[in-house]
Amino acid sequence: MLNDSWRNKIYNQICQIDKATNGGVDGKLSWKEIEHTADTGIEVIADRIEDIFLESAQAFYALMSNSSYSLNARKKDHAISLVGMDLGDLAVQWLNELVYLWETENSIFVPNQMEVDFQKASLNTFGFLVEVPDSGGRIKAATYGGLVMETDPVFFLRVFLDV
Amino acid sequence: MEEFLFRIDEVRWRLSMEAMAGMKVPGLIYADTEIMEQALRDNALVQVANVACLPGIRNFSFAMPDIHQGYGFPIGGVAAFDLQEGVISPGGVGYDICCGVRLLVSDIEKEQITPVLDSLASSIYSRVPSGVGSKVSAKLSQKELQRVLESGAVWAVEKGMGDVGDLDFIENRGCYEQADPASVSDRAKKRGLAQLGTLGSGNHFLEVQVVDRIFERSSAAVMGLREGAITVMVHCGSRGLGHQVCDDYIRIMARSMDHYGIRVPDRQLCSVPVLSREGKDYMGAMYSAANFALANRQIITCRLREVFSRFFPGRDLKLLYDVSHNMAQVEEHSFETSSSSRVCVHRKGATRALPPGHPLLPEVYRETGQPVLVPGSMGTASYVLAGTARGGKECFASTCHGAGRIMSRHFARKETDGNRVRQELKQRGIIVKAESLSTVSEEKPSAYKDVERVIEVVEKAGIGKKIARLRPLAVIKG
Repeated sequence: MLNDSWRNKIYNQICQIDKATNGGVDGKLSWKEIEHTADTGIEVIADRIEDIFLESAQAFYALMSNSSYSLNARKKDHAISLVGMDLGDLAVQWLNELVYLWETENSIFVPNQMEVDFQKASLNTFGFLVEVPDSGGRIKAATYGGLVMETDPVFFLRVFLDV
Repeated sequence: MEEFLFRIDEVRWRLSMEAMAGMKVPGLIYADTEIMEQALRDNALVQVANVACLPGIRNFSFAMPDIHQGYGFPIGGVAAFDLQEGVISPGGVGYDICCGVRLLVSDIEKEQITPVLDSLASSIYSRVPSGVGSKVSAKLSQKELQRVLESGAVWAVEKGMGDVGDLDFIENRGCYEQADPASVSDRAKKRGLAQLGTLGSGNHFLEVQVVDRIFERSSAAVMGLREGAITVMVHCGSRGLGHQVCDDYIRIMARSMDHYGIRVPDRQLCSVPVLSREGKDYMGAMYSAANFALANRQIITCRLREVFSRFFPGRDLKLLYDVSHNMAQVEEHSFETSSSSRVCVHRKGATRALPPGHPLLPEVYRETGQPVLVPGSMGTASYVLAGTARGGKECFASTCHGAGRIMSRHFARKETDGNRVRQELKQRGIIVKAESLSTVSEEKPSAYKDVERVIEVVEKAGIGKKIARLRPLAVIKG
């Protein structure tokens, strides 16, 4: 189970992240924004495969909007199940799921639990949706262009986002 | 890549087939020296080479002078594929299917608009929803969305949002009849339901402009362009619906490519035979998304006309033309080895530019050639070009679509804040109304190529002819 301190780290401190330079909280670099001529991208490093997905979500929401979110604006429980061709495809599907929820439910997804099956390239998570201010957002899709997912010696994801 | 580039003339470069294993044709890039130096700084030429590896590609993997790195195809990429042996690829169309530009012309003079420009811009900003995920107050029903996907701008006109005469000045008369809404996923439809009639964000915009200079008087007169007169430009596309269609079919094709023995150097270039089941399904969905985009621009036009009629009662905003720059279309073209063949032409950040005399042109433009609308960056000029016979023969009747980026969004935001960009533009007499100051800094003029250079290359290459230059007065952005 993911505890409250994790949730606080990921979602309540989004506005404190220096989006102009790097991501990360408390000076620790878990993700950073990277250059792309027309759009934007992120690189994420983690020790656990689940953290790749959690940290990429953090990066995604930080880049999506300047809004702050209140976890008290909880809407409803929500579960996500995805199967990819490989872990890279799974990561793109995950981020696109977040785009979909943002646009169609006006919500961000806060996970309580997440499990990623390395071999099957599958992700199962459940949590809840939190309403976001209806002020639009920048990211329209996660793409496969330049996609990198490495698993050794640490987990590393590079993905570009269509803005 | 540089060692495989050979200069043909002042504005043409050939990328030899030795640049990458598997290339079936060379690359042909339209660029001057500076534009080529910029292109070498990102992945754009590798993408030109990647496209040249796709099955059934004819003649060249082209790139227009607004070239920069994209997903799969470079932006500015053009490639035509044999219908029988070739492929169709969502990476050659783009996420924003049928993103495009339309231009409205008027007889309102600049002097008449200047005293009310700020109020007019504010009214436009409040009347046309903008920003990614921006929504209209009244969602479409599923049934109406179905009609939109089937009928495009025709649906909007039937609903009273425009004149029947507008349809003559939209590609395909405002409707891609090959659309198949059943091929569009429920997810895509759900994203589109609340977004019809919205501008979106990023490089999408509305712009109030003045005709700054006429280069070709007789064609300009036919197009209704007059120096000192006001025009309005709209740049937007198929919103979340188009993005979802692209994402859906990338995943479908990535999983079915093996079955057709197709391998691609970049997953974003996943493709299937044009006439395969998946290829036909994608085309049906792509054309549906295109119809959504055409309806979108028609609704926005209707709202613009409402706003203008409040400020200038009795004065028209007439549609000059509407062009798309992210599409794949089956077209008939002549080849040296055969009288003519049908090919699937992909234009990704490139505009179709039909030459004079083409039967698909509205009668009034048969002599001038098709109007091509080329927006510059925020704060710089836009251009109206016309299609040429040379372009029709050489590069499948294609030309550039805009200025093309040279600076990342990340760097642009770091370098200058949006407020300062807005102030600088205000000092130049350009009003900016924007949902997000981040977007304003990302879209600043210095983030883009010099549009004048892009246009000069196009004209020197003979693949577009300058008709008029338009100067911005007010920019509305998401």
